[in-house]
Amino acid sequence: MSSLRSRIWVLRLISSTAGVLVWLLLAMAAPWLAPHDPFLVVGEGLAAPSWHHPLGTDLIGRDLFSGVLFGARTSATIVVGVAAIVVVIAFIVGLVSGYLGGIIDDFLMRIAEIFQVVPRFFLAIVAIAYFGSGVDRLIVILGLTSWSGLARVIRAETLSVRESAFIEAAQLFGSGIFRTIFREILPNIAPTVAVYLTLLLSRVLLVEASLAFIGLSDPSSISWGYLAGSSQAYLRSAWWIAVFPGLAILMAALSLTSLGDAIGRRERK
Amino acid sequence: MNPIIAAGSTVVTLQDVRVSYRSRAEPILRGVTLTLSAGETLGVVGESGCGKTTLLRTILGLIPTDSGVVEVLGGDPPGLKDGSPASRAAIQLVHQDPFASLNPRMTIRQILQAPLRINGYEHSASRVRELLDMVGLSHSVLENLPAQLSGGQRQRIAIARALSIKPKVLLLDEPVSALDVSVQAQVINLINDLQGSQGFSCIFVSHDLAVVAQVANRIAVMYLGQVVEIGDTDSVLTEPAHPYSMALAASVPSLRQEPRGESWRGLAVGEPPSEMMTSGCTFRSRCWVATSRCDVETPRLVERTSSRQVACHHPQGR
Amino acid sequence: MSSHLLEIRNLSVRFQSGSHQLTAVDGVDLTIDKGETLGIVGESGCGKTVLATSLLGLLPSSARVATHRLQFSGIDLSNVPSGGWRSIRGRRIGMVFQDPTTALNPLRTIGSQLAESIAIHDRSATSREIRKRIIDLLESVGIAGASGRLSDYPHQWSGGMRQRALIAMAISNSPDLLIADEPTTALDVTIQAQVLELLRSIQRERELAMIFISHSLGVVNSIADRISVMYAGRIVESGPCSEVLTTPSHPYTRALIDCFPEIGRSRGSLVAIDGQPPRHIGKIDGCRFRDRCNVGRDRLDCVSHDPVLKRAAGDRSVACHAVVI
Repeated sequence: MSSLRSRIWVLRLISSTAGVLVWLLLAMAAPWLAPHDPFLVVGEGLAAPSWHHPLGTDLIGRDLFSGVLFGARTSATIVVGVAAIVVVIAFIVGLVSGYLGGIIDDFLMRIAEIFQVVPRFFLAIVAIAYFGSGVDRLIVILGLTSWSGLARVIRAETLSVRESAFIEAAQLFGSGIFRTIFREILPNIAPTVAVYLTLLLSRVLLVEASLAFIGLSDPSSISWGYLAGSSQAYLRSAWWIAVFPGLAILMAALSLTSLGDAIGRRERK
Repeated sequence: MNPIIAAGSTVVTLQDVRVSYRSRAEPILRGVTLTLSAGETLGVVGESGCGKTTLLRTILGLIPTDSGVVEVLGGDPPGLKDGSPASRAAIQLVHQDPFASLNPRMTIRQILQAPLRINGYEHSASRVRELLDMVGLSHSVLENLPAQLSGGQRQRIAIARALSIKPKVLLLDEPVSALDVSVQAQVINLINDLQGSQGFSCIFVSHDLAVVAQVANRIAVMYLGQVVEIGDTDSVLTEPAHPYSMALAASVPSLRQEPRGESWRGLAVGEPPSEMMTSGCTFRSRCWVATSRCDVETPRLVERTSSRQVACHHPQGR
Repeated sequence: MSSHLLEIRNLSVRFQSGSHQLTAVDGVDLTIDKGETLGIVGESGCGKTVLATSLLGLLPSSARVATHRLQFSGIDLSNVPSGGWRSIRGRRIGMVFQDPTTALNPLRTIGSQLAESIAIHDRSATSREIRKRIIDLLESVGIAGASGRLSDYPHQWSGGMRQRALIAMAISNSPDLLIADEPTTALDVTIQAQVLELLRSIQRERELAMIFISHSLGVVNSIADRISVMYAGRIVESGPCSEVLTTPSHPYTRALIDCFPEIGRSRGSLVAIDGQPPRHIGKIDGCRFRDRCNVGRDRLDCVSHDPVLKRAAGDRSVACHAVVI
């Protein structure tokens, strides 16, 4: 790789990692960093950004800066929660399917297909209508509807690595199933999986934001999407209510995809 | 499994082994018979399609046979899943491609420690260093990844790994074919030295007759799934009896000064047949001494001298 | 005006990669005359393939070529105008590369690929003429029943037959020079012998000059009149093939011969060379082969000065301080 492209790549990696880290840090520190409770009315409604309210206030006078900080917390919670569910299920299904093959593979892939075919957004709406709109429920729904794509990627990677000579050599010197999968195969598929995972989580973030935008988020927690959605009627007069939450969504999603892209390029070079 | 192997005893036996892949009707091995004795190196030579790699995988138990007997160290071939770990460790393989046979994400130390740990051997760092000494590599490669090593170095690691668990039989599948000539010689010499000091029995598969000549006590020449000639290396190479052995030996590029322009004796004409042959000798379409008998009757391996067997109706030479 | 068909003086090829510069060929001198075969032997990384591609104008854009003289039959190959290569490649200089599988387009018939290589250079030929020429060509390279095989696809032919087809394509426009880069390396040994025999007879009939590149001394010995041994981007020894191989001058040539496996050599008689061939040519003072050389490892001049290819008796040249000329 030429040195100019190499430098761009390093910049990209640093900035995207920084973006994700800043988001997570803000999310964790929100209760301490936020000057006000995001639900409390603390100022005049529709106040422009000022010294007291750096990002302005919304319709009824709640501080937007606090809102954005707590929104980071909500979105981070959801993304991390979904990541946990997705990683666990997808790895188990993908590794087992790819390594063992045969009937087990067929069976597991049929199940994955069922989950893949379901339209995630609309299922979420229906589920929220049925079960209510809590963050925990949303994590479960999004997690269950997102794992199958990752499982397929893991399976495909496992299949290709499984045929390698070094896997056969390991089996010949006595490596058992578990060791072969986790010590030999997994380190080789991790980078590709990481790329796909970041893209997946980026999409999850956007789905959550979209649901919140149309008012289906958990009312007890602030969400960026909700903030952006609530500003629809005031876009021209109070632009800040849409722009800042919108920027936050953009930065978070971009950081994730950029990070995935940077990891992918490192592998390709 | 008998841990003590008497000199002169047979460690691997194949008796009329036939193998075909599930997806293809055409057999890969059409009745292979050979033996490997304790402490010897058997070279298996042949061109593409002769079945030499399948032969090794059948001995390892990775491919099931259609018929015939395969006996390894007095028992069945170990395979991957069945068989005890001890029987599996007694026979090891060095793969052809040194770039693919080492896990790209493990350090050399991890690669060498793994089989030791799994099989209950001492796996300390000093033991790993002993292994590196055994194959003539500097200790500085311990924390390297395979990608940082050359092909010759990687192949040495593969050999060290295979020998670390003290197998009785070592199978080598074209171990030097991917290496530069100057490095080939290093690895060939290493294999010879190690066999002398460690005492394993060895099957060395290659398409290169000259390479095999440097390592093997006995040579088996294969053509399209059959052993056509087998015997002591020197006598097979200086006085080949099967026409294919003659063609093969005559085709090997040599540094000897021959007047060029003269066509080589016994040049095998044409190419291996594209259609399956159901009867008769597989070599007949390219053979200059073939007769009508060769169309009909499949030649069997027959003893010519005490140290030579040939499968041919019209063997050449004395 | 040179009397040689191809004359190369001090050819260097470097690749620019960001801020790095890699040298693949470093000051090569070569000549070849009509009707003779020059074998170039070297291990991986010695630069022999880059040398071949530089003679065909096929180097990537990151390549920087510097030369005092790169003259082919009156044409200056270092200064070919854009579009000029079309009349040279395939027409004056033919090429045969290693892997017949990748050199032939799998989606087109053999006949159409051969036809194209003729039609490009001979616009006036009718399709009937072209067809006849193709059939004659294929039969001259040993493909029987060629007229019925023109509509075959490459995958239907064996490796040996594909290589014969490539040779047919290479000579289809009667070039003066044929460059063959490891043409038989991917073939089985008995097929290789046939293809080498074919190349020899074609060369005799057409009085072709041929540059035959290989990593195998044995293969080169069977086909070349003269041989040049390459190491780390340089020619280290040159001369008539049989002489060089029976009485080598350069330690590397001698070492290559000593480690060449041969039927009839006793077990354990191969003498290996320590270390491995260099992957990149860095800036070293002194001879590049020094740290693998049992003669020059500690010699003062080998450590400090890079030896230059010097003419010796007869038609031989050596680049070595330890050789008395």
